Amino acid sequence: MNKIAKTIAVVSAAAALAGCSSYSEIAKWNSSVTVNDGELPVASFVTQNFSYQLLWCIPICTGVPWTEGAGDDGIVDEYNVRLFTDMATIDGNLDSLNHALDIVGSHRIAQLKTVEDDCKAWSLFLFNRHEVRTQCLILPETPKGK
Amino acid sequence: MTHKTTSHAVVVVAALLAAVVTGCASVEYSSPGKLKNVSVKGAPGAEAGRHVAITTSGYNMFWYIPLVSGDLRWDDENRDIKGGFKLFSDQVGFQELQTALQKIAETRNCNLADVAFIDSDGFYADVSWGGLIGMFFGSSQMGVSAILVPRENSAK
Repeated sequence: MNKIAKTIAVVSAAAALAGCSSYSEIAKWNSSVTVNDGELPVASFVTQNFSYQLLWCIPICTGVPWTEGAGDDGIVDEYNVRLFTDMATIDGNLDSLNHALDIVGSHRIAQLKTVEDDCKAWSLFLFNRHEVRTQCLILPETPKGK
Repeated sequence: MTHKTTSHAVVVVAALLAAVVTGCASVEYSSPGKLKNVSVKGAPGAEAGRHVAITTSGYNMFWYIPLVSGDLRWDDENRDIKGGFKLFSDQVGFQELQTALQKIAETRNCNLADVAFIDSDGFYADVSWGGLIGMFFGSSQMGVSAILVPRENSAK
């Protein structure tokens, strides 16, 4: 019985940790469809990072921003987790954005947007799940035809 | 239940409520220089600016009765907007967010770029996630993010 309880506890802890891993993706545009002003984007980018806090202020675990390495096929990075710190911040997401721009080779963007989300239902049960999500379009360094 | 146990229970509940309501409104800035390698279309000078995200949320009972909500207040001492809360009031709205964002930009002598509003459907999510109390409590959350572009840079 003890063994089963320990296994359940370990699996639950692992599931909780996996739930706060960061996720970043560079989605290549791969189309001739243009956006505003006839711009042809290189890719779109999204990064989301989570942290769990006890009583809204005591950090339990967090995802780690994508700031090094190419990720899977150079487009996706996920499952980076650290304990007892909070790295789900705008700064962390902009670090990931800068890293993605270095990988893509263009530093021109449009429609930068950041959403911060605190999960209210969890807070009622002592825990808060904080999410910071940043998105943008990555445009070519020099617009075509200009 | 003894008097001592009741006192402890009251303290715990008060601490929980305090923890929840203090998280109802937040203003977060990126550090200076985080955009220095980025060129933003339609926003010359943005590389010298900062990214800001403002979020407010509130709790309602039976969908419409406000219990507590975030409150974006002007802090004279720090000359900045700071997050607080207001009881029995609903301050979660685009007008409040927009006013706070404009105040932040004007105070820092900045223009704005890539202004994006977010209206979360947390209310409906909470109804399903909150289990037993989800039937009675709901929450709403709205936010806005933007790039603060210093006017002396955007004029170039």
